[in-house]
Amino acid sequence: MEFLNKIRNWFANLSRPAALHDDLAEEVEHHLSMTIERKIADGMNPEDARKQAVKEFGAVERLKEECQDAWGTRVFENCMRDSRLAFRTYWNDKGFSVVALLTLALGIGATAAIFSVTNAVLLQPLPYPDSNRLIELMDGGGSVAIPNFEDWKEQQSVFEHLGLYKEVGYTLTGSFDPIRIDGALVSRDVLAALAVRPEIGRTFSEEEDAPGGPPVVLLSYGLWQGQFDGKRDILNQTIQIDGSSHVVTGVLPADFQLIPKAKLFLPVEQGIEDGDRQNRNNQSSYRVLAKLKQGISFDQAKAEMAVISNRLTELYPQSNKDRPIRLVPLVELKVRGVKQTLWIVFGAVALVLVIACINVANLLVVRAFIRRREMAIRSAMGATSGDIIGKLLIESIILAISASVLGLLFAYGGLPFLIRVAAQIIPRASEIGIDGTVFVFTAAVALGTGALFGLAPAFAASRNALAGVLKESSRGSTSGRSRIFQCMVVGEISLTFVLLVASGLLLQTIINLQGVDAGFDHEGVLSFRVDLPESKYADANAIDQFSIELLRRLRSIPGVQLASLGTQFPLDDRGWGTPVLIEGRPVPHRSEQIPIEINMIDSDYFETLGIPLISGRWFNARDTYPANLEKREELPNWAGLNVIIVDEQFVRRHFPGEDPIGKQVRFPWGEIRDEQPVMTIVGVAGDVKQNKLREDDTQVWVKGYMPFAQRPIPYMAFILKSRLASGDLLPVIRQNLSSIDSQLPIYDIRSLSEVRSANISSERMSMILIVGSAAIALSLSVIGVYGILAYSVTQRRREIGVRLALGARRRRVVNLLLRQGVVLALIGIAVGFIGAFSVNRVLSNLLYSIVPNDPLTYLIVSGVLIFAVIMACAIPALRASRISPLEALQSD
Amino acid sequence: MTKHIFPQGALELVILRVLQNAPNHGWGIAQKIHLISNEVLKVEEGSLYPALARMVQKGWIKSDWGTSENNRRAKYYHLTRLGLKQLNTEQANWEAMAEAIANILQMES
Repeated sequence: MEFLNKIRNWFANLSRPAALHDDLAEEVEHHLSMTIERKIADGMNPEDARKQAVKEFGAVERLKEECQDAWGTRVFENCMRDSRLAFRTYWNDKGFSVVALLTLALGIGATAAIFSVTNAVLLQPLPYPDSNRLIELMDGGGSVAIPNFEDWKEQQSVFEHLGLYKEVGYTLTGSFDPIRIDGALVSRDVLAALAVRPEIGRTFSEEEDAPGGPPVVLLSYGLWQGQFDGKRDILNQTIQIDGSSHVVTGVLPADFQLIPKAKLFLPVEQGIEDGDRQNRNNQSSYRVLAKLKQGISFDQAKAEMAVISNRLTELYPQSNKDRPIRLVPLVELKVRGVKQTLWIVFGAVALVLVIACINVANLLVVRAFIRRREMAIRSAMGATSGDIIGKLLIESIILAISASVLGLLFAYGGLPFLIRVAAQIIPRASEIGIDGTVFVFTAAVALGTGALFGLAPAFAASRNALAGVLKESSRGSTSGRSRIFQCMVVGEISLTFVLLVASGLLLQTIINLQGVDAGFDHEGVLSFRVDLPESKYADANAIDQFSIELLRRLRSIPGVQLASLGTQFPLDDRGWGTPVLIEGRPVPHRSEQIPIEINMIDSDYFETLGIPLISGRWFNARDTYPANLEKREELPNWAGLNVIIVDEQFVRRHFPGEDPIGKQVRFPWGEIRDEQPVMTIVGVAGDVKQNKLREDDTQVWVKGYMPFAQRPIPYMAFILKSRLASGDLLPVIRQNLSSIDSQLPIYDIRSLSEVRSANISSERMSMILIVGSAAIALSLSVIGVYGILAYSVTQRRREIGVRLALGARRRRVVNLLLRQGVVLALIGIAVGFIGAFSVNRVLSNLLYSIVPNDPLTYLIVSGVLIFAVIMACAIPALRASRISPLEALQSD
Repeated sequence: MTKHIFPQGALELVILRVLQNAPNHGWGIAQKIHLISNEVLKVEEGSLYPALARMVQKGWIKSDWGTSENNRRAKYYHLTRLGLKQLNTEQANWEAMAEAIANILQMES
């Protein structure tokens, strides 16, 4: 009871220390007045009475302190008093405060902003319940063959849910212009694993997610809000997908992000083609999401799947050999590509923060020196060194907290920009924001930095105070304090060096990547895609006719030089591969067959893209299908007619030192050898980069080009070379398309220059962020060097004056000071060399055509740093040389 | 008129006892103690007010603003239930202690 009272009263007191003091003052005043009146009544004159009363009362200060102890508010009030004092001190020294505050806020803001990205992307769990139990299963390389999946599902006992999903593109038609939409096939199990609760409606029923079930669809929240105005009556309505009716059963919640781009979701069982159900070799982009049972560990699941994998390999050695089941936590899969980059960038801004702290520490040491008299007086008045350190620490922490508030504002303001830059590259971008974790992190950073940059100066100051600075003995001697300074500047320069080297390397990487010869000419080439719905374009003739007609119209557009089509184009990640066998050579095991990436093209493809012919010939008009055949499917696998053009990489791998022209290759499709398509190599085309500009020969699949007309498929990428801007071209293209078929959308409209530039956007983003960090670091270091030199000139004013008076040339004085700066820079660079050598290895994955220890980069960066330091020294040095000896000697 | 220093805890006991009769302000409490002790005991202002503050903290007494004899605003302290309990316990303790000490002092030599 008594204890509870104490606690309650203590909290009450903390909230109103001023009122307590007022009350006490009034009480004391009352006490005095009573005593005075009593004394006057006893016959004393008022003046004496007052004096006597005050004397009897004793020391009011002492009484106050004891009352503070009783109230339990003393420590708090002292802190408040010191804080108020600190604020006043800062207010009186605005120049210092603004510089220190901005420096720190910049460092803290950058760190907080990057941390909020790192936090959302790498540290926070995915936005699903028990998301740490979500796992993606891979059938060897990646996507799964349906029969394998069925076996997994039947034999496993470790997963609560195990389901298929696949990204698919759909055409949505209706009362609006037809649109091409990314969608997905998802199974009930996938939705259950993610514990999806529809925004409205329901997910699929068991009957719906079954072969031949009723056609239903789930909408993404974005599509519902956008295309369907967020109306609730969309439920149970019918929408047209790929030309057939689907009933909307529900809308998924806004945070459903398994496949970020997907807007339509269809039941997977209805989408699996019969061919896929039988063939264990057919890995048609189906992916598997699983959720571990409660209490089952990742390793347990891994062990069981390994057993199943071995069993399947024994049963089906033909297809399943060397195709182990792989398990990857979903979150890792999502962030795999950016993890390293993000940590590197985070490291870079952390270095900037350290540099900012060093700078502020520098400023504080200077300030502590300027305030040495104040400190000395304080210690003479009885303040212990602990008091002084505490006081200075409070000042530092207040500075750090103010800077954090400002820094958080910077981060808050800069984050939308950062997200916009990064959204294309960073997964989970929509989850990025300043939340509680970022807040706590920033608070911790504030206190940490406050202590970090506050401690050194505080100790220095307290030592000064005790050493009796009042004696003013420090004139001319610059031993201890200036060594702290020099260490800090050296540290700063070496950290800057590390960052500059990193940005130098990344900058060259970008330049190298931009200069990469991708094997094709992207200037003035526009690409777009058209997919034909099976319902309307059922057979190959219809598809072929469509492509011929559209190409004819495109070629006739004024200003269009060339038009062509393929199933993909360079730097497009939509390729598909198939194993290839060389006729007349022994058949290697499936796992050792090298896949070939197939592109079905029109005869103008190579010319449109400027891809060179190495040997043989291009396709010609005879390489199409004989028009007199009624149904192409009747001919046994295009026998005899088939031609293929391969790339140089193909020749290097399969026909080194041989002439490949006239050789035949075969696709091992189906079991019966005679039915497998055989093709004759008629030409060799130059290599092109298929996926990434940075890919090299070891990373790419060999490529084969086949005439589109020989095997038309309903997915086409058109490419146009023209002098027109795409904005002028597009309406004409759309007009031409809709006069053939008004229900077809075009999508993925991009110029190849754009494609090429987007291909290195991730590298570019890291480069921009690292170069930005390095630029801030460099400017902070320059300010730091300037600061210490300017201070040193003030300190050595008298010495310089003496030198000048004794006849030293002004040039010599300038040289003296410049040398001081350059020596610091050189030491810093030496330390930085070691740092960069050991740290920049982490960059090696990001670099292209440049080694992390590129000597030229190190040399240039050293030069830049030395130049910057000389510039920073120049102003104080020149000012020193203009010191008038007379004044210098008279001052102090 | 010699001054006597209060032993540990005695000041608070005395204050509680004074307030048991009637609420009073600081000056009044000091005055009462002085008068009733036949001017033997004198409370230092420097100890009185911190003692009052401590007792308020513990919840033994509460304070209200009122008007004093000289028509000024003054803080009046009064006993709480907790304070009354404390007074009874402490008073009993004190009397037992005083008697025990008296017994020792008065023993026959």
